[in-house]
Order: sequence, then C-alpha cells, then structure tokens
Amino acid sequence: MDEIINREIAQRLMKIKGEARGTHFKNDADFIIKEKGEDGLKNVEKELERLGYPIEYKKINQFAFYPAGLRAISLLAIKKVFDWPDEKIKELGAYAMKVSWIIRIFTKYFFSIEKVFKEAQKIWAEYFTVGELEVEESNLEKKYVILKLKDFDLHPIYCRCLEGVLLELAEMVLKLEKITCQEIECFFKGGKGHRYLIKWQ
Amino acid sequence: MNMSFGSKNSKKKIKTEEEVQGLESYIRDFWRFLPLPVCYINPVNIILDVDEVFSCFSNYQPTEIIGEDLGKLFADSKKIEEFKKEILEKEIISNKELVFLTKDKKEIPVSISAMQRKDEKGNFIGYFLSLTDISESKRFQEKLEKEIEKKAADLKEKIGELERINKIMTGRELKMIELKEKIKQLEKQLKS
Repeated sequence: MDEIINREIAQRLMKIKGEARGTHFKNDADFIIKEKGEDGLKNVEKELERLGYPIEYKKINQFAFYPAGLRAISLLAIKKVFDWPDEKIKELGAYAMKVSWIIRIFTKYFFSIEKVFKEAQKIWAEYFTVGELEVEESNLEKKYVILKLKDFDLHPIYCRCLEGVLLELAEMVLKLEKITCQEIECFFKGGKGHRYLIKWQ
Repeated sequence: MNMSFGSKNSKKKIKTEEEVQGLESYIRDFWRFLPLPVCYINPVNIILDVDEVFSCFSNYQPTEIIGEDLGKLFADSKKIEEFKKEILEKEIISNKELVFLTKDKKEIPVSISAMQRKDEKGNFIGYFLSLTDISESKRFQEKLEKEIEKKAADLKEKIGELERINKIMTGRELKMIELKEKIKQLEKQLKS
C-alpha cells in the first residue's frame, strides 16, 4: 500500500502556490486534543518533524499566512498518525468552522443559505490566498446549492476537509436534520476543478 | 513552526495581522472574563457562538451546541417562540423569565436578556443573549410566599377567634342589658 505521506510527497506539496491562514493549524490542533489529547498532538508533531516540515501547533499565529502545501501536510500527517478514515477528516473540517475565530468575522452573513454561499469567496479569501470559491448553481426550491472551487488543487485530503467545512456552513443557517455535502467533481479524479453539492431536505 | 515557513507579507499586511490578532485577543479575553453565560444567535435562531461560562452552565461543549437551535435549550417551546418573535421587533429585551434545559435535562429558572445586532444597512443579523440563574431568588421568593401564606392563615385564624370572642362578649353584654332592664321592671313593679 502506498504511503499517504512521506518526505517526497511533502516536498511536492510545499511547491504548491499560495498561502493558508494559521487558523487551519490551530483548528487541527484543537480537534486532535479533543479526540486524542495532548499526546496525540505530540505524535502528529513528531510525524511532521520526520517529514521535514515541523509544525509547533501551539506557536502558530492563526492570523498569519503559511505555505498552502503545509495545510495538506498537516491533514495527511494527522490521517497517518491516527489512521483516520475520510469521514473523520470531514468531521475535522466541520469542527474547524465551529471553533474558528475567523468565521466570527462573517457572522453577519449567517442568516440564510443564499447569503452565506453568496459570500463564499470572501470567506475563502480569509483562509487561502489562492483559489476561488463561488456558487455555480443554486435552487432553493429543489433544495440544493453547487459550489465550485477554481484554481486551487491542493490534495484529495483537503477535498474531504472542505466537504466538512461546507456542510457545517450550511448547518449554521439551515434548521434541518438532513443536510449533505459531497464533492461531485474532483480535479484529482479527472475533473476540471472541484464542485461540491450541498443538499437538504 | 520554523520562521522560514512564515509568509513574506508586506509590512502593511503584517501590521494589519497584528491589529486583528490584538483585537481577537481582546475579544477572547473579554468573553473569558464575562461572568455570565452568553451566546450569539443568528436570525434563524441557530447558536453561532458561546462563552466558556455558557458551556459550563449548559453542560454542553461549545462544539456540541454551536449550530443547534436555541429552542433546544429551553423547556417551554411556546415561550421561546414568543421570545424569538419579540427579538425581531425589539432592540433590547431585559429580564424575561424562562426555564433553561441543561444537557442532562436539568431545569434551571433563568432571566434572559438579549440585544440585537445590525449590519451597516440596519438589517437584523443576529443577537447576543445572556442568562442569569434565578434559582436562588426563585427559591427565596417561594419560601417568602409560603411564609406569607402561613402568616395570613394564622392571622385569619386569630381574627376568627377574636370574632368568636367578640360575639360571645357582645352576647353577654346584650344579656346584661336585658337583665338590667328586667331588674328595672321588677323594681318598678315592687314600688307600685
């Protein structure tokens, strides 16, 4: 079985253009501590050191920008250390939306699904310096929204994380039990970019 | 994190980051200092943020309750629906009594206050809500009411007793007058 992360993969990822806010790493650390405690976090830090890209999560400035590739490396190291399935990475993405301080800047948009996703690009730009997230299609009667992520192909693991992020954003404005978010087109599976379908009942 | 990973931001960008960080630290400390359970609710009544005291008070971890409907936290769904309508109309609501439901379904009488938030165009974008535990004052009030009830019952009993005594005394007085009248009549008869 192929390794999900090693030095070569990490080096490749570090060449990806763009930067990511430190808040990603802060949220990763919070989620690890919640699920696996302080020792769990230390284990991830050790793995990152082995990969040649150490992160001291607690020293991260959540408002500063770090290489975008590091976002994927952090997620891959977490997945590797805890052998987490994709669903858990999705859960991590959703959790990040609940605890992120940056998202609080946008609370004024959290009154309808239309508004939240209409402002998706503004929210995205607070998290990454590259890529564009926009609504491609929206049908409130049929209860779905399709979001498109352009010009940013980080790693499939981030696609799972973003599914969780978008799901949580929808849950923050829809009072419904059944909401789903699924990537329906992925660059890494031969697609032109990334498209996410958010459906509710 | 190695400094070599840090971004090569311009001085202006770094300054803005520092300012935002300072502001964030101020807000975080302020939320931590607040001795009251406080939360932030969006216009569709979904909880978007809670402070640490709120988390302790409700027994919910912040991540368990963020994204949930406010109604989940109160015993009387009718009253909370009324409150939700009221906050749409009023900028501030003070001291409204409701019964709070903790995660383990413990009922706590609370007084709630809320303040609207509006965007730059004056649109309603949510509200802050704070809770005050009024269990102690409720208990004190109930105790006081019971004492007052008991005192009123005692007083009623005493008044009844007095009325009875008064009746007896009045009866005796009337009898005396009647007897005195009889004596007078007898004296008159004797003289004649």
